[in-house]
Amino acid sequence: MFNKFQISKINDYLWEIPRSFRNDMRVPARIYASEKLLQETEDEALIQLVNTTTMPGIVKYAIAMPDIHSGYGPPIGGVGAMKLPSGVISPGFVGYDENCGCRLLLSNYQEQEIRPYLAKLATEIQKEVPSGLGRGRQIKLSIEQINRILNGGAKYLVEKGYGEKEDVENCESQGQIETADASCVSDLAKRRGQDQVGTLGSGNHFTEIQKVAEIFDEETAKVFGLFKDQVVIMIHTGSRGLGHQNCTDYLRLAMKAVSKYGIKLPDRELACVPFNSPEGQKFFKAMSAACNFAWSNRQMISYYLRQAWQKVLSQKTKLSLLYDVAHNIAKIEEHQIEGKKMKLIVHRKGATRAFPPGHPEIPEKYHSVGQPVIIPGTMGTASYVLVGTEKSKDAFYTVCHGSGRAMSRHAAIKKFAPSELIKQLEQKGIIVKCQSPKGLVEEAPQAYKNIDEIIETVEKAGLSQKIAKLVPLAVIKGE
Amino acid sequence: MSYQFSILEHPADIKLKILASTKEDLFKGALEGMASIIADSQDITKEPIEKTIEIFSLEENTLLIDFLSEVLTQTDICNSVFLEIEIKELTNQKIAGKIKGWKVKRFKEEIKAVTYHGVNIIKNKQGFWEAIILFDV
Repeated sequence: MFNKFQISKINDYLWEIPRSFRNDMRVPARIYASEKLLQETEDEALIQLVNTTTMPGIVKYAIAMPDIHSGYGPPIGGVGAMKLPSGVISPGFVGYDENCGCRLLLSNYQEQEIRPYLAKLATEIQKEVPSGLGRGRQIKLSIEQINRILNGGAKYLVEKGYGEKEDVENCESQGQIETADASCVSDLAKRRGQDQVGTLGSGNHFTEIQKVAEIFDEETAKVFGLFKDQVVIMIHTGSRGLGHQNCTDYLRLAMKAVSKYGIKLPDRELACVPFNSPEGQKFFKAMSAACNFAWSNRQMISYYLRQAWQKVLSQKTKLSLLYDVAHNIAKIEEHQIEGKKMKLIVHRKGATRAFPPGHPEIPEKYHSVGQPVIIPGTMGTASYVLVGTEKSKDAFYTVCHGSGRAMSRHAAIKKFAPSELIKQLEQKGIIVKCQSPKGLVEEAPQAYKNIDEIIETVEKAGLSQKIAKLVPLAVIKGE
Repeated sequence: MSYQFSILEHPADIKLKILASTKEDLFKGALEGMASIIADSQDITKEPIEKTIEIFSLEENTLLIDFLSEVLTQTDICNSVFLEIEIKELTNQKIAGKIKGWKVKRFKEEIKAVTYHGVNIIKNKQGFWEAIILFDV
């Protein structure tokens, strides 16, 4: 078992496992957490974090966010930056759901104006945005169309009329990573994606109608277009089966290649290859394409959602995009390492990029305040809008991605009854639209860590700053 | 016993434990165990489906995972659940045969991936083949 007493305290919200802990560590491991959250963290998650410090080319530290929990290979909530071009890139450090992420759409309505239409809106959205586990999208795209999406991302779809100019401007990487190459994505992956563009998936993926319950910083909220009691819509999903297949394909390739590059790792799922190797380059291009697919998925969901919105309300009502940001991705970024600017491949697995004010990679309209960060809560609990700050430099400008599970799905199914859970949510004024009762109880709010506590830690640790708290009005899991 | 499977506790994902009399049965049990996660019996239609598979891998542990990953891919593409395999050849690095199943109306759970995490096929003290597989859901 991992001995937590070997962790040294840097400050109240930052802890370090030194290199001396294990011979194969290349850098220390650092954990952003309150003492309580650290105590609650599973030993396996910390061991997985230590394992990631052994990856060739890793700089500074392997980092864990406050919502860390165990995964496979690197932990969920892990960050690792490797120097270019010789450091490694790892499919398992992106995660199977490549570019799983969140976007937030803003309406001009306040809660009391929407309340009478809420049930109808939830029903229409459920019809328009399927989970993809049942009847699916009913439209099967050709492989040629999938290739265009893989290369062109959300930008291509907006050009085709499935969105507005600002959907591209306000999306991370403008919804398209230019290094994408559809020819590096397998036919099997493409076939899995053919009927999945515009679908949510299962698990903790959702569409939620929410209201702005609290504003913490009026000035930044104004720049973001947020106001008290405003109705907003959050979308949380990723690259569906296409991304899952892509990660599986390249994990297998990397596992075969590690010995060729003399890489020794304590866990198969850490399999990685030098970024500048043929395998590394091919994976980077394929992962970029899968990320474009995920942005396209969220773009098409927005398109169908806007149709539902306008059908129930009016053709004139708008839903504008605040921001769209990934929390499973590896990107080339420039950071200061020992006083020098260095190009790195930054892996964020269950962790969200949060660039500070003035960063060249954020939209012009947010330059003065910093990048909006969207943190989804769980069904029935709060979500948050944060903003990136200069203080999170040491964490490669990264913040958490949610609250993290505290209870297994199995335990949640045994503990909660679907009817009771729906009643509890309805008592809070939340409408729930979910096809699967089992899926509902698996995602019970009590099965997760307390999001408010995670966000408090994030802010106190200096990773990000709170801008607004959002609470759900309707949770929609798709037909 | 030819094989039996059970779901173990895991904080975020799904862990499946398989016990089997033979190595062939271990693969069969893993297949049926995965199918039980993916679909409910009431959502399985009467439309049958068969697929021929041939998988090569590095060693027996990765073979088990690669086999299930291939079935998962076919599950997604064919909108079906595969419950049985007729094994033609099974070595430490290869499995070939025919997977058989049914089209489904809807899936119960979306498995993102069959992970290699901690997989270790063993013959336990009772003489049964045993493996634990972690699914990312």
